[in-house]
Amino acid sequence: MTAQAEPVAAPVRSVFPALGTTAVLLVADPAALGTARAVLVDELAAIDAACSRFRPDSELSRANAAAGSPVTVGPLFAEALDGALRAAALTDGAVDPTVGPSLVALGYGRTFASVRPEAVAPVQPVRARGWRGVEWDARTRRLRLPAGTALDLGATAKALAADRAASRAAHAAGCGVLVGLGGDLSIAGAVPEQGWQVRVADHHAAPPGVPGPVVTLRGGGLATSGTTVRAWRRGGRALHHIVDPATGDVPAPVWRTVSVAAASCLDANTASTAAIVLGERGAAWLAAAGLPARLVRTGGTVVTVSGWPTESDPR
Amino acid sequence: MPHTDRARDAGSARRRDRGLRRVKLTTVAIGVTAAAGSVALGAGYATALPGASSVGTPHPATAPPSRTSSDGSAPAAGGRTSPAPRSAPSTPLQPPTQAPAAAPTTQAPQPVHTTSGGS
Repeated sequence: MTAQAEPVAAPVRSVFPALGTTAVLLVADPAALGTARAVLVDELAAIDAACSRFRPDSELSRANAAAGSPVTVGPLFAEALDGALRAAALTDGAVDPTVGPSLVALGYGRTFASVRPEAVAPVQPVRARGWRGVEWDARTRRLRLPAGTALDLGATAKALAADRAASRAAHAAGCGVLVGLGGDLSIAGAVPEQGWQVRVADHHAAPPGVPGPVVTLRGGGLATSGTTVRAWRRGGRALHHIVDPATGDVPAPVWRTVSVAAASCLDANTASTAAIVLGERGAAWLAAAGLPARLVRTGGTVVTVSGWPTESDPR
Repeated sequence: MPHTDRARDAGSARRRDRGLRRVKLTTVAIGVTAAAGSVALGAGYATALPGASSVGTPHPATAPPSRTSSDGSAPAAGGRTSPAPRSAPSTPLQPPTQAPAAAPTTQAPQPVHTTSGGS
């Protein structure tokens, strides 16, 4: 009698809207989906209450409204702000949380669903006030924004939420978990034998038939920043949600999408956003940081660095 | 015996004065000790209460002094030209322990689990 191995159940997934985008949860053990999903929902609610730019009752909105005066913030907002300021420091300000007024000036002052896709009025870019002006005492969680400054933690807060949710969900579920928020992915727990198979595309919600390389991930995070999604037009110009803090305008159109793998989704997102802002310098900057990355030029040419697999096998 | 009475009175007065001095010194010592203790305890509690510190004055967010760009060119304008920071450098961006690998092709293709893309 030959012993047969137990068949390994395929991961199961749950997909639902969250944070103005799509949340994806993959769980290696189907029986743990409910537990992991509850953790993810809880984490998303917490990050939204802390960091949403579009909720007047969020901690972020209250801090922005109090610019010029000190405020004390909660632990989760503090963690998100720490992450955003670290991102700014490590990118020389290419990723800067003080771009709130810049985004508003470009027309992204409300939830993206309510942003008019096209308007004739020209935009007047507003430079970011600069993250170095933010007075922040992490020990006492005391924050003072200079008057006229407003934070936007959008990119880094979403990535942080993916990392936190994946870690918590894997712990609660006791199995491998992948959390994706708008295409930014975080992996935690035991990895399935074949790893997590991830397609890379311009749009995180691209239908299955859209071509794109498939890579195997076994840990950490993967983030893709792009200029073709969450885009609109003003005064005859194509605009999008990634802002160069130095100009307050969209960066020069060099890369269409940048995908970066890192030890965490937060690091991956920081790097992918910075590469878009840095333009032609982006690929060399990622290579110097040793971060595996895939960059797609606006014309479609692909550049890979730091061990990202070549694309001999696009599916 | 008036002389004896005066001498006794003088001795009593000296003892009273010495007693008064000791009381005064003790009072001053207690006062100084209490004041110093109040300052020490106040400072300790102030630093222990988030947002109520008069000691831990918030400082501007700071950064590592080195540029992270790799081409050695001058920093861009705006927020990338600020003075040198005061705090310790942040932990650098960390590569993954294992880089992404090409999906297997020699065996049956694995189903794609999810997509990473712009949002």
